[in-house]
Amino acid sequence: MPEERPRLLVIDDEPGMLAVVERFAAAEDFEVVTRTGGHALLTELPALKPDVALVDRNMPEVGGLDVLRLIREIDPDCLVILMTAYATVDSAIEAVKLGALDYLSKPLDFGRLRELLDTVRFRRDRRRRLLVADSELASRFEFCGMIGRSPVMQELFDLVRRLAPHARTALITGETGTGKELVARALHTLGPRRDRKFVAFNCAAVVETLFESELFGHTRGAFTGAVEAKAGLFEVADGGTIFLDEVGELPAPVQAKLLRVIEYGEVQRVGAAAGRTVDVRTIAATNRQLFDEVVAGRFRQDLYYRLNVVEINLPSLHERPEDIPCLTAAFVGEFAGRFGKALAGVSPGAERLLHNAPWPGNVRELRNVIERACMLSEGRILSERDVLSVLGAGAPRPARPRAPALPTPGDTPAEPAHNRRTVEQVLQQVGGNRSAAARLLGISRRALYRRLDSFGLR
Amino acid sequence: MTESTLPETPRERLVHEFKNHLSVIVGFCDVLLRELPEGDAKRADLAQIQRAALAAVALLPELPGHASATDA
Repeated sequence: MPEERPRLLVIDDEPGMLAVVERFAAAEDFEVVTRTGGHALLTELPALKPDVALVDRNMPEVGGLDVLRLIREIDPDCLVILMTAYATVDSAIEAVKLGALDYLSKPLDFGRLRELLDTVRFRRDRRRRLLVADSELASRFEFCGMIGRSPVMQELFDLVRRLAPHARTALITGETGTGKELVARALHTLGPRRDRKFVAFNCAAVVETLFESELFGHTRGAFTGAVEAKAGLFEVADGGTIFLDEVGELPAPVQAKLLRVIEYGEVQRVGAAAGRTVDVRTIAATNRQLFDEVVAGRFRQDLYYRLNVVEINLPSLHERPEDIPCLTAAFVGEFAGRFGKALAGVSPGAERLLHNAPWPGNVRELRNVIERACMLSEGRILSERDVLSVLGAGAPRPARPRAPALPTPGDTPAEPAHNRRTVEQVLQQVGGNRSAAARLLGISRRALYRRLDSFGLR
Repeated sequence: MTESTLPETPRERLVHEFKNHLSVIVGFCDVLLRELPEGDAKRADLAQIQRAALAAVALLPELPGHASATDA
C-alpha cells in the first residue's frame, strides 16, 4: 500500500490565502483540505482527521481561537498552527496556552511553515515506527496465542512450558477474560497428547439435569428422550485433554463422579451397569475463589485438592498494564486485517485512555473494545474519539470488588487537576456519561464525582 | 461561544484586509520562486513584485491613526 501523505487542513476566510497555502503545502507533499470558516468543523473534523490544521485567527463568525479550542477538544491528536495579520505577544501566548503548536504572522514566513510541516511529518512517522515496534514486540512475546512481555506473564509462560509434559490435572484460576482456556490449550499443545483431542466444556452453560449425560454419556433408554446410546465427553476425549471451564458450577453429584474419573479413570454412562476406563487429562478452570466454595460446603474438598495439585493463577490485565500497548497492537493488526482497513495503530491519546481504563473484563474486554473501535474507525490511526465511543458504550460489567481494589493510575495523589470548564466540556462531549468522562480525564469515577461536588455540578 | 476577533475600528479593518491581500501576493511570489529554476528570467520580476508587496506591508503601521502596538 502506498504511504499516505500527511493531511493539512487550512481555514481562512480569504480564498487567496487558502490558494497560496494549498499550493505551497502540496509541493511539500501534504494532502491539503481547505475551508473558508470553522462553522461545519464540529461535524466534519472526525472524518477529515487532519494531522495538522493551519487556522486564521481573525475570521468572522467563528474566531480562530474558538476553532483551536474545538480542534483540541474533538481531535487532540491534530496539531494546530494559528496565523494572523495582527500578531501581538499576548495573543501568541494565549494561543500557545490553548495548545497551538505555533503562531505565525502574515505575510507567512514559508521557511518557518516548512519547518513546522516537517515537525508534523516527523511526529507522525515516529508514531508509526513506534506502532510497528509494538506489533513486532507482540509477535516476539507471543506464546500459544497469549501475549505478554511483563515479568508475570513471562513467568507464567515458563511455568506452562515446564508443566505441560507432566501435569495430569491442573486448576487454572483467574478473573474473567484473562485467558484461562488459552492456558489450557497451551498445556495440551505443549504436552505429549498434542495429537489427541482437546475437548472444552463450559460448566456454566449446561442445564443441571444434563451434566451427567454430557460428561459421562448415557445408555439407550436411560431416561426419557435417550433414544440412542451416547458417549460422554470424557469418552470423546479419551487419550487427550478435557477442559472444564467454570468448574465451580458443577452440582455436587457430578463432582463426586468427576472425582472418580480423575482418581481411577473410570466413567459410567447414565443407566449403565458397569464403568469404562478412560485416560484423560483434566484441566479445570474457575474465576471464583474455589477454596471459599469448599469452606462454604458447595465444592468437594477432596475434588478441590485433587484438581489443585497444579494451580496456575492468571494475573488480571490491571496487574500488567505494561502489556497493554503490544496487546493493543496485536488486536489492531488482527482486526485491521479482518475488516480490510489500513489501520496502523492507536494515537497517543487513545493509548493513554486504554492504559488508564480499569478493564474488569481483562484481555477479552480490551480485545472487544479494539474490535469495535476498528469496525467504526475511518482513519489510519484509532483516535481517542474512536476508542472513547466504544469504551463509553462498554460491555456489561461483570461483578467484581469495586473501587478500593482497583485504583486507576489517575487516582493517585498526582491526579491531574482539571478545572470546571474542562470537566464540563468533557462531560458534554460524552453526552453526560460519567464513566466515559472520567476515563477521558484520566481520573477515577470517584475522583470525578468529588470534583463535580466541589464545582457544585452534581 | 463565538468571539469577535476582527479589528475594532473601520481603519483597522481596512489595514487588516490590505495585509491579507498583500500576504497572498507575497505568498504566491514565494511559491513561484520555489518552482522556477535558477536562472529563469521571470525570477527577477517576481522578486520585484514581492519586494514591492513587502514594502507595502511594512508601510501599513505608519498609516495615520493606526495603533502602533498591533504589529509584531
